[in-house]
Amino acid sequence: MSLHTNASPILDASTDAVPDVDWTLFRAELLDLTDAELREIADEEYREGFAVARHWFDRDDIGQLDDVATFLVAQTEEFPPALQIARLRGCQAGAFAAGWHLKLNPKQLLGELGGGQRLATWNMRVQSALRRIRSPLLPGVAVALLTPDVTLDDLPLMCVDDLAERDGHVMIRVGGVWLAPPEEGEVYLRSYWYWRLEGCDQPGAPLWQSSYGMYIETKSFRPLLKRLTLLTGEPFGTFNQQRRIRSWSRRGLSCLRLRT
Amino acid sequence: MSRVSAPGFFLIYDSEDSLLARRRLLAAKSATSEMLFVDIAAGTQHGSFVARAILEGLDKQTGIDGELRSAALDWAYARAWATATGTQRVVVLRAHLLTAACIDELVSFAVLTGVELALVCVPDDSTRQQRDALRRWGFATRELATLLGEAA
Repeated sequence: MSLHTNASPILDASTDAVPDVDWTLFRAELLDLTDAELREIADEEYREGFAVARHWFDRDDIGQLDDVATFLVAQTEEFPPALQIARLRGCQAGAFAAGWHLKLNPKQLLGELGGGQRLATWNMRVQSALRRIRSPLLPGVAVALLTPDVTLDDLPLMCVDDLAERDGHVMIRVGGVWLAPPEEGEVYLRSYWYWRLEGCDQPGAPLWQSSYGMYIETKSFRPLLKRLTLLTGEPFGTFNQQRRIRSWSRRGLSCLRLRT
Repeated sequence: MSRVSAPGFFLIYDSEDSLLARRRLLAAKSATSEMLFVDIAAGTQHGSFVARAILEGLDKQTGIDGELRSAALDWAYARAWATATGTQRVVVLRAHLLTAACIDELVSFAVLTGVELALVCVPDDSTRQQRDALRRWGFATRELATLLGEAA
């Protein structure tokens, strides 16, 4: 009989590998992702970033730092801001697995990568992401934001009284004008409206800040927007949208070959 | 707003607790239809489980998480979604598993949302408290065959 002793941990670099401990800590502490479903979404992006970067960095010479920057832009620019950081961290881990130490400053890099320029739109993915959410708050806020002509700046100013039923449809008032939400999203807005009214919220209570749920203590609606962005893949909010940085090497990125 | 009207309360005896009837009823369930079927699990004693069974019937995610501490919140969700989706009738299967307190909460749900409530249960398998609760709210008896015909 043989005993397996001194067994060293094996780094599973397959795409299905559980994200490493650094990522696990990072997503919990910095991204504040405590929801299992949101963690799964972020992990998926992390794993994909890991796999692509491991393949791309599997070489002896990277060449110009600009090439690395271009690669990172290509890996992240199509994604909503809250997912960019997950992919960026995945890329960093993938590069490390391939023998490159990618030193980066995500906050500044994501500022360079932009994001948040594209406005969220109603689509099937959004609908399927919202369909099964139990609390009416998140779907309600999402539909309010997806209503044509409603902007993110309007949301903090909106109150319960800005929802009303007109001609058999629930509508939103912005700047004195009543707007119709996306047709498929009306049921979510209606549910949210009932929920707020039944909770005896005052007409002037902020639309996004419900007294029923856990969000009453939230001082900003950014956590809501982050959750919506992760759940739907659509850019709700303008995370990490900072001034553009001209020099990669100076502020946000360096790449070092590890000793082999 | 919640539709407050005079809802109907019905008691339907499934003398055989037949799997076939339950399957047929569950197969007819639809989140968008006006008739909502709620399947009660064994051991349902907390109001939150009943509210979550309703949410499950409405195709909402129900896991065991922190919000289980608040049955009031789950009931508020259930009322909001049931009203928004235009549910007219709620049929509760295996209602003999419900406690008297859960029956009371279901009645409150029906009153506040204005839906018709029908409990499907096995005869002679109820406690005195359950019978008292049903009597208190004036449940009228209906035939299972009628319900099956309406669900088909």
